[in-house]
Amino acid sequence: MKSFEYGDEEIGSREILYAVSSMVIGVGIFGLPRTVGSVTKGSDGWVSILLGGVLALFFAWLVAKLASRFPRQTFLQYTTTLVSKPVAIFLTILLAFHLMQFTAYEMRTVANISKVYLFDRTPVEVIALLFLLVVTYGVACSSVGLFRLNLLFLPIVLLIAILLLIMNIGYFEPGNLKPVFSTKWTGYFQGARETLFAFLGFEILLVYIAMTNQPEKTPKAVMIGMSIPLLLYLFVFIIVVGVFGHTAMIQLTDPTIEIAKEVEVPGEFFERFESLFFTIWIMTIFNTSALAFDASVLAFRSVFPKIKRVWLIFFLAPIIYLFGMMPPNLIRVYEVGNWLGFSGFIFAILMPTILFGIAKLRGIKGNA
Amino acid sequence: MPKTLWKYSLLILVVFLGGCWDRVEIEERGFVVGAAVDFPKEGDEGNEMEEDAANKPHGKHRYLLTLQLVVPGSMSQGAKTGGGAGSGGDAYYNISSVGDTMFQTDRQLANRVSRSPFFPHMKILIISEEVARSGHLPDIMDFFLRDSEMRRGVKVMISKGEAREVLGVKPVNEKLPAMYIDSVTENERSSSATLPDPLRIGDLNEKLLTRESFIIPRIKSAGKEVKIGGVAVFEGEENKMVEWLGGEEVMGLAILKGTLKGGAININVGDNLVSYETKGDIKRKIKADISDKENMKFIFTIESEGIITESMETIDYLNDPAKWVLVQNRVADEMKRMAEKTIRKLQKEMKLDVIGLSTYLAQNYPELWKSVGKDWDHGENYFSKATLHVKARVIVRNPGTVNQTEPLQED
Repeated sequence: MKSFEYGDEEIGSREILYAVSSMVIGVGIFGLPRTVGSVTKGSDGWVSILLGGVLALFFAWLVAKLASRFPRQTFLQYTTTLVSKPVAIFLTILLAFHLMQFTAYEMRTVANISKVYLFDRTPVEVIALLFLLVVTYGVACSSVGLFRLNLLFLPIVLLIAILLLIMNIGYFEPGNLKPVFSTKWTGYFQGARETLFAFLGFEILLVYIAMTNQPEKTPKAVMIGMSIPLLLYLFVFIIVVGVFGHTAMIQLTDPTIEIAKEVEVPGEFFERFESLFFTIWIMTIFNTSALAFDASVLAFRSVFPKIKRVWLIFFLAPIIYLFGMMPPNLIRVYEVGNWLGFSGFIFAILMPTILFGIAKLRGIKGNA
Repeated sequence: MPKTLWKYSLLILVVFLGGCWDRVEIEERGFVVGAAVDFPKEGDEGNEMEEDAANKPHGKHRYLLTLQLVVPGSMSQGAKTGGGAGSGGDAYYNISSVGDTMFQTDRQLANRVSRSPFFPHMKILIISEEVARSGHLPDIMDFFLRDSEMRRGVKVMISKGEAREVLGVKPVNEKLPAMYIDSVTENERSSSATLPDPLRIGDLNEKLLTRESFIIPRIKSAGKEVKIGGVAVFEGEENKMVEWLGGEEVMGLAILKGTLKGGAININVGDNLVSYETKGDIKRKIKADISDKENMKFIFTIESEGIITESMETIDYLNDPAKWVLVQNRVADEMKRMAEKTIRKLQKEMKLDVIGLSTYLAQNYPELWKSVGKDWDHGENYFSKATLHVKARVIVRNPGTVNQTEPLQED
């Protein structure tokens, strides 16, 4: 069996743009209005989202700047120039583990939600397994193939998101947005922290920028790519607050799915808009999981270049599955989510900042 | 060769690919279109006490849950006309059972029907007055909100008398009582003034979560039809039904809330009647003077635009601007009278704010709301101490298609 191979293993800045958006838009959006709303009042959460988003935008730019200083060098290669080989290997393996955990978390969350809303009787283990198998199948091809898939999926996903928002305008009560600016300033920052978690995922750039053939254009592409989820989150939050009101919103487990259930369109099929929304949304979760998995594989392969890609994937997939199925219930899954946010913070924000500082201070530039 | 065989044997796996764990054929789904909750009476199915019940956890109450399921076959056959053998049935059937929780009862019902109840197409939920007054409304709502099959668009109503009777009405021009009731609630033209806005279960969830007092539309069964009119007033602290609000008071409430969409307003001109109807939503503005907590002042400014729909009194509208203005003022006075009547009842008798002033204060004066919120229509009851004024302004846009139907009598 010979799989189809693309002409080159290179990507442009447009692929990076789409990849960043697809990576960031994932399961975070489902609960975001609740987590942000529970620490802010009225509709003030949008300030937090903007704040968190702008911060995320800045750090994503930093990551892009860092990685594009070293064109066509893998994460391992440029961290080696910056902080010696052993440290670089250590960091790369940790990053790979972080990305594996990321995949596992996405898989578990999508399985949980599908179980609640779609498959009443199918065990959550089976849903997760099937999802992971599809992801594995996607990853088993090549990274470039995944990028092409992003180009295909993202517009559909955004379209359905916009449709969802438009259909809810009828239930929107402007009064629910009031009172404005009554949150204490600490609330805004707590909210921003919650939001920042929903923007994580751009750490994959550390790995992927090595593949791009236009490194100088990447920072700009990354900024645009990050703005798409920022705008989406803002609109979703405003609509969710307007539809449910603050009090009810923070009691809903997944407010963003519930607004899909609000919609009632005449006609037997569209009456249940949430099924359509959900089906489409799984596409973006697939993208997120596949990119994280693929980035993890790339990171591992840079350390162990002798292992064949496919064997590595077959080896990692069961581990990811176990990672994902470990937490026994929803509260524990949320806990894992928090930990993931924490390690995401390290890999997407802390580490790149330090590495960037070192690069700047020592004036190291990759040989272009 | 063995290698090819091995590959072909993989094809067997294809058989397993077409599986769907959750497959339920559409014929096996019992589409629930309506539900009703009562307290059980002697002799209701499942009400007999079980012998092993001593150690079983018991709720505060047992409930009688009635579900209305669709009979798809009769839907398509035009069941009413034929009356022939075989088909002849209704397009629905109601089935009831008693249980401690809604979920348990639902599953008990599943033992008795050939198609298991499926909720996403449910349109209405009717709660009996008795249950509403007992203060267990939130307990019942939990199932209808928590279960993932439920949608947030279900309309909730309180029935005067037994709730399951309402689901048993035999409408003349519709096949499903629940669908019939659903259409009546949508019917804004009919008696809209006394027909309260339908309450969606999602909105009710918001009301239950806050301390705000609220209203739920009332429904009554009358043989072949239902009557939706009046509202049940719920006190927001314990979410217990307190009292009914009927006809004119509901219209007054709609005026105060700015949700009035139509409905006839009759006024006296000379010795006869003129009827006016609001077109489009009325405009409402609230102005508040909150300097004194013990005596807050609210001024409701109401603006309505509409047309003359009936004029028993002969008036030469087109040539008599003074009369035109007179009609406008009389309508304004009448709206003011109804609004004030409602205010008296709510503020002085019930001492409950269902006008939405609490929301207005919470949204516009969050600082003040922090100190008065807990005692708004409870305890200190700042609401009953407040002064509410109503100002109404009416613009008659046109007098209809004829000016006069009979000649003006000369005095």
